[in-house]
Amino acid sequence: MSSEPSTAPPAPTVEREFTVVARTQAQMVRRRFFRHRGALGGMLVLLAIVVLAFSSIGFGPVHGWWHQSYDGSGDVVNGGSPTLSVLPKFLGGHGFSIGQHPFGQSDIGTDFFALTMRGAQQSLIIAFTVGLVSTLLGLLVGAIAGFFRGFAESVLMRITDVFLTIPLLVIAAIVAHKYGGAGIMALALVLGFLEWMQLARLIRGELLSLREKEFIEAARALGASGPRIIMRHLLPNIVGTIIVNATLTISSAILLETALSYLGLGVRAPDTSLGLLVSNYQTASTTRPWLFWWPGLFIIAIALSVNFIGDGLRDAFDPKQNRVRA
Amino acid sequence: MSDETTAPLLSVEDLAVRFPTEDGVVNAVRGVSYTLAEREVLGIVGESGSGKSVSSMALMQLLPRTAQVEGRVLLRGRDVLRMSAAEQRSLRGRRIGMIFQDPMTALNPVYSIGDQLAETVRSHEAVSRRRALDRALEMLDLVGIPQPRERLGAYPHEFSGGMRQRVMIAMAVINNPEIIIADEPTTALDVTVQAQILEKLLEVKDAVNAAIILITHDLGVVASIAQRVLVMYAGRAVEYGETAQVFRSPRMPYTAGLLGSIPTLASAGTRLRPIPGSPPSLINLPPGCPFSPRCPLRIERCEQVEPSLTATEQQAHTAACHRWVDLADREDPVSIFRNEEVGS
Amino acid sequence: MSASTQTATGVGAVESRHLLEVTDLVMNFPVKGGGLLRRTVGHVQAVSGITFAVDRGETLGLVGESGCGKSTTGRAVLQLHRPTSGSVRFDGLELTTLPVRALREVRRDMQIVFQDPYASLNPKMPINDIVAEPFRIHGTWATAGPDRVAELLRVVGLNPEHGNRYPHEFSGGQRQRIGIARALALEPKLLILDEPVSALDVSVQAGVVNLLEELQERLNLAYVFIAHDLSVVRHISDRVAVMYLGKIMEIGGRDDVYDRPRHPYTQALLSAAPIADPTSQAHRERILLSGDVPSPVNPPSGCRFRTRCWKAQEICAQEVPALIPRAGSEPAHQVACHFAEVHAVV
Repeated sequence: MSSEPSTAPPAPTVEREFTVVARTQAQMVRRRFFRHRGALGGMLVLLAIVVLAFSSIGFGPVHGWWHQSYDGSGDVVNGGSPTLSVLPKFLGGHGFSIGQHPFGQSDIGTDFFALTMRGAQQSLIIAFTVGLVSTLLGLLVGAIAGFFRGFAESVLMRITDVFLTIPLLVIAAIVAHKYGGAGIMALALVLGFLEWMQLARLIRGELLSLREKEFIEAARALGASGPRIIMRHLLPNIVGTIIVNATLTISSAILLETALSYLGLGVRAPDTSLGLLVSNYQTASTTRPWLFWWPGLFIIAIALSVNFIGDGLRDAFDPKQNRVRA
Repeated sequence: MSDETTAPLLSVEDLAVRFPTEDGVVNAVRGVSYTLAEREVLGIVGESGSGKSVSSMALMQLLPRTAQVEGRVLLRGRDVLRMSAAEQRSLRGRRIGMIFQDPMTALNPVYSIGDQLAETVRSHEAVSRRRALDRALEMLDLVGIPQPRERLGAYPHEFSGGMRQRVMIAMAVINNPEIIIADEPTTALDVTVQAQILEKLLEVKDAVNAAIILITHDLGVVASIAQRVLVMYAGRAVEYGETAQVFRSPRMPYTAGLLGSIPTLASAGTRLRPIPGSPPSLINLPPGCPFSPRCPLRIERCEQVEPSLTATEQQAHTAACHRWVDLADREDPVSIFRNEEVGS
Repeated sequence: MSASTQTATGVGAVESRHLLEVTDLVMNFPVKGGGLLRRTVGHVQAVSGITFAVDRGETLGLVGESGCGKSTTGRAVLQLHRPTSGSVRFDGLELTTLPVRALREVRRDMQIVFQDPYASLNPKMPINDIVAEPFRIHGTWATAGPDRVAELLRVVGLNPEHGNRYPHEFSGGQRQRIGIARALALEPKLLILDEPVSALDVSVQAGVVNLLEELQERLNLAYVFIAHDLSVVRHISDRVAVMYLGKIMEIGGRDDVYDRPRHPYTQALLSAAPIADPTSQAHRERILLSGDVPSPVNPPSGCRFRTRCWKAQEICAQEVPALIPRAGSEPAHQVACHFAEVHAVV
């Protein structure tokens, strides 16, 4: 039973059969991702923003390196205009300096850089929480529907359909009205509960097609139990979909939060967020544009970079083989 | 080739196709040459990776934009590859008809077959829809669709696999092409249906006076309808000649190996003779004959110089092998492959 | 019932039982209509009462074209689909009524190899894990361990050093070998092979077929070899059953069925199969069937083949022909046709 069958041609043939270096799926995905310039750029920008937002003014008990705080007030210097200058001297500027208030000051003298960073923190927390909650919910619903089929599937899919017809803003308005003061986590949870449907459908669809694949039948033929099949066989094959979808949810959550806060339905004082900042200072956009544009810029930067990352991930997980057999 | 007094209908000279990919440049086709006479059936045989499908797609200019095509394809003396895009488009579906392997994906599911057939006519000729549909009806009758008039308005999904393939044949010949390229036309079909379709293909070819290039991996199919055969391996032609001759007396070890690995009446009770190893990667082909690592007859020369198609002792039968003479000396060329279980 | 099973394998008196005994197996799949409730509107009669047996060390070839129910038969035997009715006895044990837990134990003794080398292996698992999975599922990994996995890979002709690679890095033939290694892990007695070589290149098929033959000899395995390629089936089978629209039309010893076919469908099938020999192709008789395969949702009454059969008469529509020896054949060679007649085609 263990004698080695003879191989007629010598070893070179065996080597020739492998046309690619041994790479795991994860390695291949990583490789493709890093080749996508937009995604790479997006990742760097997002990373920079996250690091800046959380390290500059600190978070929770940890202190930041920025000397101003976001909830202080004080004298308004020079109309509150930004002290950041980047134009080099030989071009007629003042050279590079940051100054006391690089983003300017609000009308009550709060350092606007700190305020913007605080807003960025909150917006990021909301967005990632929404991403997490909706992904978990969508995964749960989609997996149960796709795996168990039958009655459970019908019921879950009808529930999904109902949720899809709910106008998001209306619900958000109602919720915000009742629980407005409950803080950003409450808001994030509610939004998460309203954003899971797409992923649920996607996962159900993928599971439906995966179930027909013969390796699943093989596992059943070997006597594998249901949970084992889900964990070892189905989930690893849908990770790609999950990650991509989660990324895109985060991006849309940023914009959603912005819209809600802008309408007064999202984050409320004393909390702050980028959306709220934009909303509060929209009237100042002509007289003191820095109050409007700095938070706006960060919203755009975050949304764009997450989108690019999502694009890159989608391409990277694309199961197109890089082995061309003519 | 044979001394023909008339020029061949189609003459492919040194056709080469390259694709850039993530891992490097894939040389899918590396210099293939053959001719096609009027009304003849040429079988192109090869396994996956041989380049047989890519070479025929190159004839029709159906390759993706990233493909680099070289060589000459002379249709009645004019080089197809050098024609303008408009001219090439007018060739497709008119002078060259194509039948694909999977009719379900080749037919548009949202249009009736009558519409699709009529469309094929009207994109090449300015005729009324009425006339185009009449022609479509003629074709459906020709390919043996029962109750053709009622079926004109039917959709692809309403047909069985065999019927759909007949519709594909109708589409390929509706404009009286000179050449029909059939790429694995029966691979997806049941055996009894396959027999019907092959019969029908021959009938239709005679009815419209066309020649057929039949691409397949099935040696049985080639044996049943092709007069001449071209065997491809790793992007090159390795044997070329009359079907009966090539099958009876292969002069290239790969062909012998292919023939030997098929179970036959005589093979029951003995082990089959597989060809050891696998086809090579088309990205970094080492020098020499691409079949040499798997070839029981290989010598040093084989690993250094790639043999080109040379004439053998039989008329119009060429083989790309340095040692074809040794093969010719043997009573049973297939026996060069060992008759036992070989790993991998 | 048991009488016909015995005659099917040529065994006279009651003696040692067969490894696998399938009796009157029926497999119907419901067809669901649309609408909110999705009620069942009909049934696909995939398998409609078939009977056969297989012994250790023997190969039964199951041939037929698409829609004949051969793949469904294979899965129904393994209880991957629970049969609608009928009996499947494995080593004397009735499987159709077995509870799930007991079935899991029996699964060690009967396994399946699939057709598609690309879909039958989990693309995210390295092949060491794929072959190790049977041990892990049945809790014998601790005793068996990586050595057994390496041994299995070697047995099927692969290099164990490549064990940490992923399926996409192997060729079709190699993946099929991995599938075979996985099926052999728990030392089964019966292997269902569902078109194991159809998706492979011709020259690669031979290697896998040889491997299967050698393994059968060494391990005394029983095979149910499901295929549509008549040449391969002829090469590897000891006995052959020809299926059409869910029923067995003809069953018998390999040489009997191929050299002396008695059922018109078998004859048509044999005449249609392409032979890689231009001279015999040219001299062969061609039997061309008319029409298409009827739908399994609404099969013809009486003999299911009658709509395409050149011998069809009134009795064919009224009476289902029994699968019994006819036209002077031996007891082991049975035909379901009112007008059975020997007609050598190949």
